[in-house]
Formats: sequence, C-alpha cells, structure tokens
Amino acid sequence: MKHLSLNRAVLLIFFFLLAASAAQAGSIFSGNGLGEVVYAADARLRSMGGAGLALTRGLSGSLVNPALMGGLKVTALTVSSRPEALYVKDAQQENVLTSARIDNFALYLPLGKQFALSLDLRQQSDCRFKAYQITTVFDKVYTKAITRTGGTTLASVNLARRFGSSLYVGIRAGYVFGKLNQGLTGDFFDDDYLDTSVHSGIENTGSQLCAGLALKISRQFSVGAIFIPAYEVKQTETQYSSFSSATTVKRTLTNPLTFGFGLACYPSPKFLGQIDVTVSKWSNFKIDGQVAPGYTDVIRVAAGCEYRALKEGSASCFRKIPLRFGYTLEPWYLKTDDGEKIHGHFLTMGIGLPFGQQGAHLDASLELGMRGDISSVGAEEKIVRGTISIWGFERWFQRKK
Amino acid sequence: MRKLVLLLSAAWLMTAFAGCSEKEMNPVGFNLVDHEGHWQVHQAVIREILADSCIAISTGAGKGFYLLVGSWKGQEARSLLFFEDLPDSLELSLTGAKLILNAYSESNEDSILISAHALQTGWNDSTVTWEYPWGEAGGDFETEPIAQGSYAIIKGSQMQLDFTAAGLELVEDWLEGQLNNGLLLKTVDPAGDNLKYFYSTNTPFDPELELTFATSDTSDTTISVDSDRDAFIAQPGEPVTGDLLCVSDGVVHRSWIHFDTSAIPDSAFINHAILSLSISEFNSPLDKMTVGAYLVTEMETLTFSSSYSGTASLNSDKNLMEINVASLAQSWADGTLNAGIMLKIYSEYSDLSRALFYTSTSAPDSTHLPTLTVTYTTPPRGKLACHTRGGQVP
Repeated sequence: MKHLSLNRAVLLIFFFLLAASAAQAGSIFSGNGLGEVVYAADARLRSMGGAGLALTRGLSGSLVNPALMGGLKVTALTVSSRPEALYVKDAQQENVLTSARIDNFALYLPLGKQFALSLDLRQQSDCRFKAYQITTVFDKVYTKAITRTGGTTLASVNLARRFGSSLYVGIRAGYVFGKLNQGLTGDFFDDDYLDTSVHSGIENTGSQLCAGLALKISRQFSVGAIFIPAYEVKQTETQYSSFSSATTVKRTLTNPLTFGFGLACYPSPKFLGQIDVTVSKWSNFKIDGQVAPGYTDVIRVAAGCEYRALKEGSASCFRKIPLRFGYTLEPWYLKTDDGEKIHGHFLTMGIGLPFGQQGAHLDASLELGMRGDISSVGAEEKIVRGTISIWGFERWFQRKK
Repeated sequence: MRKLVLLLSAAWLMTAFAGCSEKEMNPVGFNLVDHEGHWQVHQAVIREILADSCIAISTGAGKGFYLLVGSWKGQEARSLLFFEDLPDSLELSLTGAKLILNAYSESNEDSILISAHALQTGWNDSTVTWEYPWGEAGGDFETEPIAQGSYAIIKGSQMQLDFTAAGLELVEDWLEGQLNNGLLLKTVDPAGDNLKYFYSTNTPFDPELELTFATSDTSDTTISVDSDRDAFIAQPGEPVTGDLLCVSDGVVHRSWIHFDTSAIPDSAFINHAILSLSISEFNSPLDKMTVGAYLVTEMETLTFSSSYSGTASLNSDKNLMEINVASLAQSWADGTLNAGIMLKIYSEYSDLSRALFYTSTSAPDSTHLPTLTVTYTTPPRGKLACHTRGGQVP
C-alpha cells in the first residue's frame, strides 16, 4: 500500500458504505423538529472541534468553507464515516445506542488557473429516534412506539478560485433531498385487538446556496467566512392512519440563514490554532411562511489546535503524526415546552496518519460529548463519537514525467 | 506506519459491524416527545340500552343446508321435497322407485322410522312454514304413506325409502303429467327425540329420486332425478316468556339491541369491541350454535347488513355469549348512525336450536346485564410531524 490511488480509495469507500449501512438509533432529541442537524466535516476538523472556516492548510477546511479549495492542483477524494455510541438517560430509564453513518463524500477536480471544482454529497439532517415502551392497557400487554428515521442529504457542486496567494472565494450550490419516515404505533399482544398506527412518509426537496471567503492576512493568520441564505424546502407528507383515510399534505419550510466567521493562526510550522463562530437563525424558521414556535437561534462555537512534532530525533512515526484537540459548544435548535434550551458540549481529539507518497492520509477523531440535562430538559445523552476520514490524491489530466 | 493504518482501519470496521446493535426496547425519550401526547387508549363499558326486542321471522326454510325430519324436545320437523324434471318414459313400465337422502354425519344416533307422504297442496320453499299454506298445520298430505324406512344414522351414510305400490302409482301419475305437489317426510314417532339431518338441494349431496323402468322382460334401466326444491317446516317451540332476547333457527327468531354509544368519541379507532349477553336458556340438538352480529342500517325497518361483524359459537357449557363487534363499532365512530345490532343464527334454516338472553330488565343481577365493552384509541393531540416543536410531538 505504497500509494493510495483513487481506485484503492474507492474500494475503501465501499467498505465504509457497507459498514454504515447498519445505521441504528441516533440522538433521542431527533424525535422532534427536523432531527439532528449534521455538521459535515472530516475527522481532521472534528478533532479540532469542527473549526475550519479559515483553515488554509490542507483541503479539510473546504468541507465547511467552499472557498478553501481554490488553487487546488491535484484531484482529491475524501469520505468520512462516524460510528458513535450514545448513553441516553431520562428520569426513568437509561440505554445505550450505537450507530454508524456516512458523513460526507467529495471529489475535487482542479480546473487550472487557480480554479477548482468539487462534487459533494453530505448528510444534512438525520432522524433516528426509536422509542419503545411495553406497558399494560386494561390488563392487556401493549407496546407503544415512536419512530422517526431518514433525513435529508445535500448534493452540491462547489466552485472556488484563489486570487493571488492569499484570497480565496468559493460558492456552493446544492440540491436538498431525502425522505423522513415517522410512525406512531400501539400494538396489543392479544391478536383479538386491532393495533393502532399512524405512519407518515415526508419527501423533502429544495436547494441551498453557500458563499465562502477566506483571506491569508499574513504568514501567521488567516480569516474565513461563510454565508448561507435562508432557503426553502418543499415537503410532501403522505400519512396513513388508523384514524382516517390516507392524506397528503404539502408545505414549505424556510430553513434559517447561517453565517460564520473563522480565524486561524499559524505561529509555527508545528502548530496551528483556530476558532469558528457560526450563527444559524433558527428563530426565523418558517412553515408555510409562518414562524414556527419553539425554535431558537444556534450559536456554535468551535475551537481547536493541531500540533506536529517535526522534531529531529523523534521516532519517524510520531514525527509525521499530527495531534489535534478541540472543543465545541453546539446547542440544539429546539427548546423544550418550558422554554429550556438544550445544550451540547464536546471535547475532541484526534490524529492524522499520512501514508503513501502523494499526501494521502487517514484521519481519526474522537469526540466526548454531553447533550441535554435531565433536571431541566428531561433527558440527556453522553456521546462517544468517532470519525474516520480518508483523503486520497492523484494527478489527473497531467502527463506523468 | 502502514501496519498502523491497517490496524486502525480493521479496528474501525470491526467496531462499525459489531457495535451497531440497537437496543430495541428504548423507552428513553418518551418524555421528550410528550408521553401523554402519544394517543390514549380508553375503554367504555356500556350498559345503557336504548331499545331491544325479539323478532319472530315467518319465512320458509328453503335456504338451509339441511332437511330435518323427526322430533326434539316435543318440537317436530318435517321435510318437503319436489321433483320436477322427471324423465319422459311413458312407453316404459315403472317397476321401482326409491328416495335417497344423504345423512349429515353429525346427527344423533337414535333410530327413526320415517314415512313419505304425497302432498295435497302446492308450496313454495321461500314461504312455506308449519302453518302456511296448509289447511292443517304441519302440511296437507295423504295419510297413507307411499314409502317408509327405518333409519339409524351411520356417519356419511345414505337413507333409502323404497316406494310402495301406492307410491309407484303416484310417481306414474307424475310421469303422466298429473298434479305433483311433491312429498312430505315425517317421523312415524313424533314423541321421541329422534331428529335427523339430511343434506338439502343447497349442497352437493342433494336428495335423489331413483326410478327403475323395465326395458324388456329380463332387463331394466335406472334413472336418477335430483330434487328441484326442498325445505323443512318446524313446529313452533315453546313461546318465549318474559323479557328475553332470543335467537333460534328452524322457527326463526332474531334479536335487536340498541346500545347508547355516545360515550365513544367521533374519529376514535376501535381496537376491540365485545358484546356480552348472559345466556338464560340454550337448546340445541347438536349442542352447538353460531350466532352472528350484524350492523342495523335502518332503524324503522331493522334492515341489517348482509355480512356479519362477528360471530360467537355457543354450546351448553357456556353461560355467556361474547361477540367481537369491532368493525361495527368502528362504523359508528366513523359517522354511521348507530341503529343497533341485529343478532341472528348464522344459518337460520338448518336446525331447531334456540338461545335466550337476559335483557337489562330481566337480568337477575348486574353481572347478567347486556354489556358492550369498547376499547378505543383517540387520535394524538398533536401531529408527529417534522415541523412541530418538541412538546407537541406526537
């Protein structure tokens, strides 16, 4: 495995897809709203708290700021997957849930003259709420369940250009699609009793734009910013219910605008530090033009650093492995009925494993997080989340010397 | 380095495959999605009855699967047969005739002596009863039997009644085109419990008239004729005394009962609905009865649906009849006017059985009251939809 060619990378991707096909239960908070909003980033960014809006070193930053792929010279491909385990708990019960999912897939193509194009597929929202409860109703064993599965995916085309050696400008145009399935069931163990159910299939389609900008202020500092205007997603919900005949409802969701700023600092070749602040105006989330109640603005703060030994005399292995640490403050976009906010905190860490001769690397991150609070929110989950990313590079359309 | 990368990749793949085991029963989070907002299951125990009645039906028994002959507990049944499509064999000499009946295998094993008589009056299988259209109740027939046979049931066996000379003469008259009102079969001993069941024309084992004609001095030919119509008539049993609901067959009774179902909200989903009636009396020669509950669609005429909502099998060991009427209750919840429930024996012209049930006025105590127990679910308060906020789901 001296070179990670694109062919080999594709094979690895199949392994990723296969593994992630066993996706299971996710956040218990995804039982409400649009589900869990997935922050698509590779393991390198995640191990630095998810910060990367101004990260001009490497291609990872382009996953959160499309401008940062400007000036790309080689074809690149990446895929990330996230196995995670959740220890969930409410006032009465506790449980352990595990899952794995493909976060994102991207193919980068250099176009010359500092232009670059990428094709990107990423999970945008994810519902994997499954709650079952066995009880008795009038002396009959009865299982009630609430399930929500599915979510939305963003397929996008990104175009970026680097102006000179310091200014990066990029834009992403994406198509949002995906289906959300949700159901309520009440099953009697006794076959003489009819079971009750309401099942819905919600098709989502829409489009999203994102503009990005980054600037190397000096050798030590760079800044970046993104802007995602509010965008509409059309929903068509078909419901099959024990209480009525099948119905179809159409609605339009207006997802909130998002903007963010980042600062990266490179005091030495061994070290980089960065901080991002991203604001999503969920309080303006609308359904058919009406502001939906219960949604709250999300200010996401991410900070992290990367350290490379690069020290003569160190073991060659550790000399090449970057170590990363970070922190994320990631509130949930829905409040409880009592108006309580649901907070999430993550401590992150990770490493990068370069291999091959063309800059390929495998990154791994580990996030330890906590979301919610039993006393104020009614439930909490402790999250152990891993992310594995592979980056492969190859020169296309260029004659090898 | 390569080994490290491979090791990490393998470890991750193993974790991803082996670690993805969902704990299926995960009640955590119900509180988040508003536990109380998950629909509620309710139960209504309804004993409020708006009206009820026992209805006597005076239609013929031509639609049943069996022909009944004999007596049971003082109630006699007789069967009528009519053979229309007789052969045109006037040039041949009729030398023999016999009536062949196929026995219903579950009949009792008591012996019976059955006689066949020529009927004097025409009849219609859809209107004929013990009294109608006869001058004398039980049928107008020639007293002299035209065939007679002793019969003790053997499972799956046939009974053959050989015609007497008078019987052959009667059949010859039919062949010549003279008046043919058919035959009546009755027990010679109406005092005994000797009821027998034979398959009717509504089954593949219908009665046959087998005629033998001489084609020469030494040979003959046999022609079989299937019965064109048949019925049985039953002597009315003891009248129903007191305020009781009644279902019976042979002499048919149906019962109508109208519960006050206003406690069931509109749009409720009916999970289960049981009509419970306490049995006051049960009589059945075969010790079994199947009672069906039907949706009454019009209260004035008590018209009811053609298919039942549920059935209950009764026997002498039971003192309570329970019928699942969930589909019927669902109709009411969906907006169909509640005009009551019609109870009747599923196949009303195949036996001499009868069941009596206590009403709300005749029940000796509260445990014998007619009861409709409905378990239903009301729609969720909120919608389980991706656009709703936490507390409203679902």
